[in-house]
Amino acid sequence: MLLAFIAAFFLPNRVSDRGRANVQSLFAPVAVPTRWAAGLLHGAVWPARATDQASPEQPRELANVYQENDELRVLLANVRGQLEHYKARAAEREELGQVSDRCSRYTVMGGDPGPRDSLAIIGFKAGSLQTRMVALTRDCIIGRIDRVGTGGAQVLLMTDKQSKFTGTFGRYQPDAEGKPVFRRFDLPPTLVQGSGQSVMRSELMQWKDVESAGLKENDWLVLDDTAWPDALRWYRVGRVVSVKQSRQSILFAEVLIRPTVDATQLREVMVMDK
Amino acid sequence: MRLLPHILLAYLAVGLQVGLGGYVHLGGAAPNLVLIVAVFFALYATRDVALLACFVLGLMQDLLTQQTLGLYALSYGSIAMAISTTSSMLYRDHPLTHAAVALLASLGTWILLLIHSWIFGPALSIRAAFFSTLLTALIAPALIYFLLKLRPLLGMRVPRRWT
Repeated sequence: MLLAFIAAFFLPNRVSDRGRANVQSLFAPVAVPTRWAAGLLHGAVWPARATDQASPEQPRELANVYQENDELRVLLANVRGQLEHYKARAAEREELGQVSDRCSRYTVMGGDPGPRDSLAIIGFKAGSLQTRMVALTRDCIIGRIDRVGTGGAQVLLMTDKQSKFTGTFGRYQPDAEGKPVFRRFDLPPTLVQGSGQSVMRSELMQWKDVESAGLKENDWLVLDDTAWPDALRWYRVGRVVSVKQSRQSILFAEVLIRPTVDATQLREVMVMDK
Repeated sequence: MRLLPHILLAYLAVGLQVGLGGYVHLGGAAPNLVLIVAVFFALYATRDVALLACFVLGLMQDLLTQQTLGLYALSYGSIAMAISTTSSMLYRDHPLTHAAVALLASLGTWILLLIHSWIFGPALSIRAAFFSTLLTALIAPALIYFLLKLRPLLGMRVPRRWT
C-alpha cells in the first residue's frame, strides 16, 4: 500500500510507463475476443449508419454521390500524377504520397479501463513503434502513441484532456462548376484541446470572428499543426457539434468537436510508422 | 484460498473491462467491473486474502490505464481494508448491500482519482464520476450474484444454503 502511494504521488509517469507498456499485451487473449464479441453484438443491435459527410443535413441522392465519386477518382488520378512529378523533382519521396501507404494496421485490444481516453493496441510490429507516432483511420486522426512496449502500445486519443494541437475549420462547398471543394474558413489556426468523453474543445477564437466566418454544426476541424507530420496537414480530426459564446468570456467562442468515428469502438487502427 | 482461480478471475475481470470499454457506458462513462470483483473479494474473502487480492486487482488495472501507476492499487487496497473491517456488521448476502457497498467503493475510488487529477492534472470530469458510480452500483448485484456461484471454485467458505 505504501509502495502504491509512493508510485501514485511521487513516481514520474515516464518511469512507470516503461514497465507497464511491456505487460499490457498480456491481457489481449481476453480483451480482444471480448471486444470482437461486443462489437458484433453492438453492430447487430445498433447497426452503423452511413452519413453523407459532405451534406449531413440533407443527404444527397445516391446517383449524385456516384457521379461525384467518379469525378473525384479522375481528379485524384490527375493529382497523383502531378505529385509523382514533384516528388521526383523535390526528392521528397518520404514526405509525399497517400497517408495510408505510410501506415501499418494494428488490432485494438481495448479502451482505457480508467477514466481517460486512450486505446491499447497490439501487433507483432508494435514493439518497433515510437512515441508520438500518429494513429488514424481513413475517416480521421484519432491520437498519438504515448507508450510502447513488447507487442503493444498505448494511443492517447485526441479527445483526452492531455491532448493539445492546433487545427483549423473548413467546409465542403460547391465551386463555380458545382463540384464540392474543401474551403477553410477565414480563421487563423487555433488551439484545440481534448475535453474527455470523446469531445474536443476550442475556446481561443473570438466570437465575432467565428460569427462572421459562419462556423456552424457539422463543419470540419482539420489538423493544421507544424509539430505534426506534414503529410497530415488538413487531415480531418472531427466535426463541430456546437458553437456558442464562452461561459467564461462572452468575447470568445466555445466550439465543441467530436471525432467522426467513435475511437473507443474501433477494432483496428492505422499507425503512421513509415 | 486457491491462488490460481483468484488470479484467473482477476485477469478475466481486467480483460473484460478493457475489451468492453466503449461498448457499455452511460453518459459517456463506463462501469468499473474490476471494482465490483474487488468488492466481492473484500466482502467474502478473509481479511488477508482480500487485501492482497484487491491490491493486485488494482495493480492490474493500473497497468492498462493512462492514469498514474498505483492509484487503483492504493484505492482498492484501502477499500478492501475498510470493507473487511466492517463486513461483520453487514448483511453480506443481500443484493442491496452489494449495490450500496459498490456505490461507496466507487465513490471512494473516484475521490482519490479526482484529488490526484486536481493536484497533478489533467482534471477529470465529475459528471463521468457520477455516471460511472451509478452504473457500477446498478451492475454490482447481478455480477456479485454470478461470482457467488463461483465461491467453491475459489476455495471460499460457502454457507450451507449456498451448496
